Order: sequence, then structure tokens, then C-alpha cells
Amino acid sequence: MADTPRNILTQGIFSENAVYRQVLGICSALAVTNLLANTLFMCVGVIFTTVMSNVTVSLLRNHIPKRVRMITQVLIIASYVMMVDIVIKATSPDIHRFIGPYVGLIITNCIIMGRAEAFASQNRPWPSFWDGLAAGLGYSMVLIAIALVREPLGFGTVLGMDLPGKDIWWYQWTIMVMPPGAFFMLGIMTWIARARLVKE
Amino acid sequence: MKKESTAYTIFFILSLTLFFGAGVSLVHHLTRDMLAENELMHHNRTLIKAFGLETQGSSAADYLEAVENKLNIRKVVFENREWEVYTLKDQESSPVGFVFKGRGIWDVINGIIVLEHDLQKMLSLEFLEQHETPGLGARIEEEWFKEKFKGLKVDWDNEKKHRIIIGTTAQPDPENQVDSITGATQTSQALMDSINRELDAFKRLIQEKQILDRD
Repeated sequence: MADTPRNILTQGIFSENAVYRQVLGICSALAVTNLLANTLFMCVGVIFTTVMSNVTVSLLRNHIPKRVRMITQVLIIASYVMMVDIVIKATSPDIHRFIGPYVGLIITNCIIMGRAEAFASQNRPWPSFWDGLAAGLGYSMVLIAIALVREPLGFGTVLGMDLPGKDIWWYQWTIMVMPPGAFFMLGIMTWIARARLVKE
Repeated sequence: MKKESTAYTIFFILSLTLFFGAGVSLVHHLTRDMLAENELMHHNRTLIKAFGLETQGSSAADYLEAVENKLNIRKVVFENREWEVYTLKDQESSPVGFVFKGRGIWDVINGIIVLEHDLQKMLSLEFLEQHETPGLGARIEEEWFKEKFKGLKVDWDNEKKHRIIIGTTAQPDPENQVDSITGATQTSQALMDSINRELDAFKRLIQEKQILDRD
């Protein structure tokens, strides 16, 4: 594999970002981005899962029977997601109450299975680690960017802290609190990214 | 053993399941105490909120202290179930609360209902646990929805399943009715059925065990 970690990271985060290139993982992108704190927990969960599942699938790639390779990947991904779920529930129960249903859905996040199947099952653990990290960071970058618009416009806060002079100038955009707000933001972000970051 | 043979495949999947099953169990075991503490704090905080009480701070110890100092807690076994009944300490004709257990469309819906002493009106509804669809049924936990139950009349003269009504009704009696959640008709219906069933059982409990008469 000629790809260096640097190339893998650049591709995964920018030019081949799974969210705006393949429109993968948008269920959670719509659901958890109205508050930045929720988004950050979700991103950490996804990064951990993509990295760990990629490395594990890569380590086992020569031992996995072909006909059960998908079920094996699901088993590996589901186990890591359950660990993430338990840890968030134990350390931040209030955030878990809100993002809990979506943490479970990380299992079905197509980015993770996509990277395990397309990259980790054919590459060594070290490049697979970087590929998982890149996919997770790419996903996180888009989610954080959306949350950084939705939370200030929807709630007048950033990470729960009021914007300066909020009482004077701020007016609530209710749509940013609701999932359609994320649709608009995702559309705008995809537009900008494809125009500026992607060379067709 | 050949990699593609059935015996190897079964061996591989079994080993992997055991390994990861053990991993998840280990993480669960290591966080067990934290989970139990969180559960207790959530219960106490919900209870304090349902009764509209104040606490010194917002730590688990503050909520526990407030519950111990301000509430009478009675555990009563009635109709094969353990009920928790709460009243305010040192107050005559205190509001009375209890933990209700119901079912939504996906899983259980549990929470706390606080009623006036004479059981004629609901004072608050708070949820301890629900797993309804995020963005739809799960909106029962939002403040604007719970707010509607404050002061809601419980129409004991009505048939059992319509003492409180969530949604539309043929009878124009807004005093015991709140609007259902748009897009979550089934959750609203399930919540209504659960609350009415629990209210009925709770009234029987109060009458048979004469709990409020002893205050």
C-alpha cells in the first residue's frame, strides 16, 4: 500500500469525506447536531468505533471465512459500540439520555462498515488505523461544523454558554433546533465542500 | 482445518462471540457502580422536580438529602407489585406521588405522577425511563408536553380508560384532556392507556391500604 498516513488522512477528511461525498452517516448527522456537546460525544464514539473496528478487522482479515465476513464485521462493530454506549451512560448520563438511541445506531452507520469492508479487510493494521481515524475525523468535521451553526442560531449558545450580547441581537431560528435545520445545513455544506474541496 | 470449512466457520464465529461478549461484559462490570449511582441520582432528581422542591446544589448528595428530608417514602406491596408512594413531610393534605409503570410502542415508559391529596387533579408528570422514537414519541419528555399535565383534572366519573385523555375526544370536556403529539399518535395512545390504568390501580391501592388516612 503506497498510501502514507498523511494521504489517508487528507483523503478521508477532505477529498473523500464519506458524509458529503457518499452521503453516509447522515442519520446521526441530522439527529445530534443541534447541541455541540451532544455532537462531540457522538464524534468521539464514532472515531473510537471506526478506529477499533478497522484495526480489529484488519488483524483478523486472514482468518475470517469469506462467507461470514459481513456478520463478523457487524459483531465486531456492535461490540465496540456497546462499550462506547456503556461508558457514556456511566460517565455522562444526561447526555446519554439524549443521544443514547443514536449511539446504538452507530452500529448501522454505513461509514464504519464501509471502511471495514472496503479498506480494513484488505490492508494491514497500521494503514487501517489511519483510515479509520480519517473516516471518523471526516465525519466529525462535518458534524461539528453543522453544530457550530445550529446551536448558536437555535439556542443562542455555544457548548451551553450564552453568546455575547445575546439579549440584544439574538433571535431564535426554531428550524435550527429541529432536524430539518440539519438538512439545510448538510445541503449547504455539501455544496461548499464539493465546490471548494473536491476536484472532480 | 480449512478456512472455508463449516467446522472452522462455526469455531471462528463462536470464539469471536465469546471474546467480544466477555469484553462487553467486562466493561459493564467495571462501570456497574457508576451506573447504579447515576440511576439513583436520576430517580431522586426526577422526584424532586415532580414535587417542585428545591435543593442546596445539584450533586447526587444534594438530591438524596432533599428526598430524605422532605419526602415520606412508603413501599407497599399491592396486587403483586411493589409500589412506591411519596408524600411531603410535615404537611397536611400533602400532594401524593407514585412511580407509574407503563408501556410505549417500543419499550417501557416509567415515571412519576404527583396528584393532589384528594386525587382530583394531576400536579405533575415526569419520566424516569422511555425509549420512544427520537424526534417523535420521545417528545413526551419535552417540557411543553409535561407542562400540560399540571392541574389536569382526573375525571373519576368517566370510564376507566378516559379519566385523562391524550388526543381528541368526542366529549367536549377540555378539563381532563391534553393534545397528543403530532406524528406520535401511538405513543400518545399508549401513554394515555398506561396513565389511566395506573391511576385506577393507584386509587384502589390508596383506598384499600388507607395510605393517605394515616398522614
